[in-house]
Amino acid sequence: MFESAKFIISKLAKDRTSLVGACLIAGLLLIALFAPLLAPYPQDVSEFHPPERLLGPSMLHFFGTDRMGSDIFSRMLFGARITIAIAVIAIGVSVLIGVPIGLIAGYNKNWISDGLMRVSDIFLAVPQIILAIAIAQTLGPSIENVILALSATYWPFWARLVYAETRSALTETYVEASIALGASPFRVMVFHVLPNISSSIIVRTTIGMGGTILTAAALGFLGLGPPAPSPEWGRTIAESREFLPEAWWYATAPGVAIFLVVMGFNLFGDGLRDILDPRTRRSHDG
Amino acid sequence: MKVKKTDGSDTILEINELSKWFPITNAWNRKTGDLKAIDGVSLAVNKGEILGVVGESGCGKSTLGKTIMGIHKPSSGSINFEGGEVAGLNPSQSRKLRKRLQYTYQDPGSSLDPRWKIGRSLDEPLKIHTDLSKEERFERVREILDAVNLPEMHLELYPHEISGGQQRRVGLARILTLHPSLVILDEPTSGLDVSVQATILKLFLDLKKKFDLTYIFISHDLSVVRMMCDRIAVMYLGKIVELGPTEAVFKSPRHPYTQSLLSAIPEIGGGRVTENFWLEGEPPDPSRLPSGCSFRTRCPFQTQQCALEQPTLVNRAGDRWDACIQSRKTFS
Amino acid sequence: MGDSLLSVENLHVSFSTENGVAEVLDGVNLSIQTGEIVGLVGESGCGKTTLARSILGVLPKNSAKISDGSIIFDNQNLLDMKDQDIARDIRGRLITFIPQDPFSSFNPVFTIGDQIMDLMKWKYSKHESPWFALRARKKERENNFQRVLELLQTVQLPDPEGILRKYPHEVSGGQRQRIMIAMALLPEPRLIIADEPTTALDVTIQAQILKLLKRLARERNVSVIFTTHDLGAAYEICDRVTVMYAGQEAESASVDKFFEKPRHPYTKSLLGSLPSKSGGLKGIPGQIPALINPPSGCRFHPRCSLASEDCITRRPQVNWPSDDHMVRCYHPKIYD
Repeated sequence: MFESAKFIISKLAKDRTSLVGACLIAGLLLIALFAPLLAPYPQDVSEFHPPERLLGPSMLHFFGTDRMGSDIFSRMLFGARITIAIAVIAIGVSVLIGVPIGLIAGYNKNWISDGLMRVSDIFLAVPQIILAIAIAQTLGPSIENVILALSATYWPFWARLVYAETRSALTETYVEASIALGASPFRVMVFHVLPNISSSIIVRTTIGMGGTILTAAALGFLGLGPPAPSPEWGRTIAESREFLPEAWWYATAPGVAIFLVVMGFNLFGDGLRDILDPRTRRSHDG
Repeated sequence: MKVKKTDGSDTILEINELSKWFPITNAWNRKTGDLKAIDGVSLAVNKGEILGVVGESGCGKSTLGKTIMGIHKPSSGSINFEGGEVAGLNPSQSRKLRKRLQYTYQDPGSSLDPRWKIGRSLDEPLKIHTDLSKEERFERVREILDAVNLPEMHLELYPHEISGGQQRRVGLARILTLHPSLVILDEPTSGLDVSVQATILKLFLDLKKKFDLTYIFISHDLSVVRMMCDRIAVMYLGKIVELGPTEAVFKSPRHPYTQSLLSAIPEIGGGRVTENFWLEGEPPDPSRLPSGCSFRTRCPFQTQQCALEQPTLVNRAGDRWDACIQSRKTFS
Repeated sequence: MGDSLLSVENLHVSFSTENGVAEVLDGVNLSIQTGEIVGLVGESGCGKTTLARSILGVLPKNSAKISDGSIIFDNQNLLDMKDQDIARDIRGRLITFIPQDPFSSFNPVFTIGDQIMDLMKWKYSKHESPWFALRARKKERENNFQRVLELLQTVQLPDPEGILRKYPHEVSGGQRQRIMIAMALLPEPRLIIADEPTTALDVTIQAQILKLLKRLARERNVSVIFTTHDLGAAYEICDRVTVMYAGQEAESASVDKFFEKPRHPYTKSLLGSLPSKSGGLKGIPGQIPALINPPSGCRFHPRCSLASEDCITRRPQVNWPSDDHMVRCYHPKIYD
């Protein structure tokens, strides 16, 4: 396992686009971690200075100020924390629900597996954003409910993926061999199937991060995210609408931030896919 | 029809009228017919012998091995192993049995988890079937590794890091850790180079002696089978067409299919097969078999009777069995 | 040895891999007369497939490198020719190929007939003018079709017209190999390279295919290079057998001498490891060497019971114990 990690890193380092993606993600993580140190006006997350409202970008306020006179740059840095928290928790919950369901449905060939897959089909049939809006609307705007709405709509992706990968892994001789040896279903699923399909899950998760962040921002934009005065990026864009096009900096900063982060995850995920995809990987194993 | 034990020795495995039919479905998943991969096979394996199962691809020899092993569920028939019925048991019920009855895969490289080190793969059967401590298990693995002539450092390698011959040894070691009594070897020499093949075959014989094993040796390579096996069963399209002691069958094959199969083996120093090989055509589609004897479409001796009557495996003389109507006439 | 149709001399081919440079062919010689069937025998990794590919000019461009030697076919050195000239005049015309796995050489979405007719189209159609082409093409198609049908009959395919309408997966392995033989014969080549053509087939089908290949080669006076790891198959159809080990040719002799009086220790032990009713089980100790940093001198020396000081330092020169028997060993008389 250690060797393969080294192999992946050395391959990633050679691929320029995924390196760019990795840098963007690393940047986001660092910003979120050190937001209180980096922000020039950390108190502006909750403090207002109405006299200084809607100032353009300057050396005092890099990205200008918003309608309450708070420093947008500082608020962006703290917004990164919310974005990461939402994405990581929502994706984590989706993986925790979707992967076991996919494994169980893929391993068995009976009514349980059919039932589980039909349920995930129903979730996939409804457009993600609409389902998320419905859930968030019903439960009321808050970070917890955004996470809940996203997890509820995203788990079927992992269930579907793991189901398909498990089905194909079951046709592999080494899986059949350990079943013939007398290994229990749990043993086969956890020790043989799961490690061998993990690369697909990792790739899907990385790319899914981008999509989740985008959907979270959309929910925030629609006012279903964390309530004011939260510095959530989508919410900030929504607030800026009244002041466009004069206060162009107000919408630009969160827009560019969302764009860069989503692109970072997508580039990195694509790079990972090229490296981990069993079809391209086999040549290294052989 | 019952195939009784052939002599005084103990029977370790007895199968009766075993069939495995795979459904053939059309585009709408409706069943349109059956592919009779094995069809009414009866066989007894004596303790300590090597029984060869030979035939060409698609004759059902691998399916037979996998059905005995329980990887496929039989459609009908019985399998009696060491005095107990095992047909139709599901994997968890037959777990005890699996210790004594083992199967080696045609391609041992792909039967090992590519992400597991050899050591972990060898440890797995012991972990499943025994309560031994980690040290005891390691001791057993080392013992077996020594028996198949692999260095201990191989425990730390991944399957793709060792050669085909070594993978074969690992595959064998993996099942031997459980001390089985009957081992089904499925095409154990396919894909091996000649110089490696000889050493692997020798290893099979050594291990047989050392661990008191019985082998079912499934192979398409008749010259290997001739050297290794005490008795052979020749299969054609899901049925055994001839069964008997190896030397006797090779010297005087009774079924026309066996005759053509044996005459197709190139024999260095002998006459060229290509000069007088008579068998024409290819086996028919196994999902649309001809009536009566399935070999009759290619058989130069076929009569009208062959199309009407389905021949069964009949004991002719001593240990010799065959399923040919013509043969019956000549012997009665 | 008279005029050869093809002679490979001192061919060196190396492959660059992630782990280093592998010398896959180390000064290989091979010659073949018109109408001769030469068996190229050896175990996996001995370089027989690389040799076949070098002759066809289809070595992978980015990793393989021919560093020395010549391949003389019909008095011209193929290594000096331009790629497009080989593609136009030699490969698929004068030298054709029968692969090990005929299934992967067909495109699964077109019928077999379409694929054979397509081959005829770009190999034979000479009409450039569209006016002329329209009328000529129909007639030509008709002729081509008849030719293909005749060929399919000569390779003893039942119902040739029906086969042409089928897709590759609808015909059996033996039939596919017969079709490949027909396609290889189509341009009336002078040399056919058959790369393990019967390895994937059952023994009775193998016997049929070998019989067919031998008869057609004799009838049409075509030379065949037949690579195989199966000594029995080589015995069946070859006039001459060359055995290779780890990128070096070890011995070459007429088929009778090769099997009756082998002179190279590798040939001897290879024949000895064949399963036989009388002989015990004698494998060759050790393993086939890796081609990155191969053994020095004669590459067989680490596994050879006769290895002497000379064998380790320098590869033996060509010895001719008799006119049609070549061996590269320091001890060529040992089995007399």
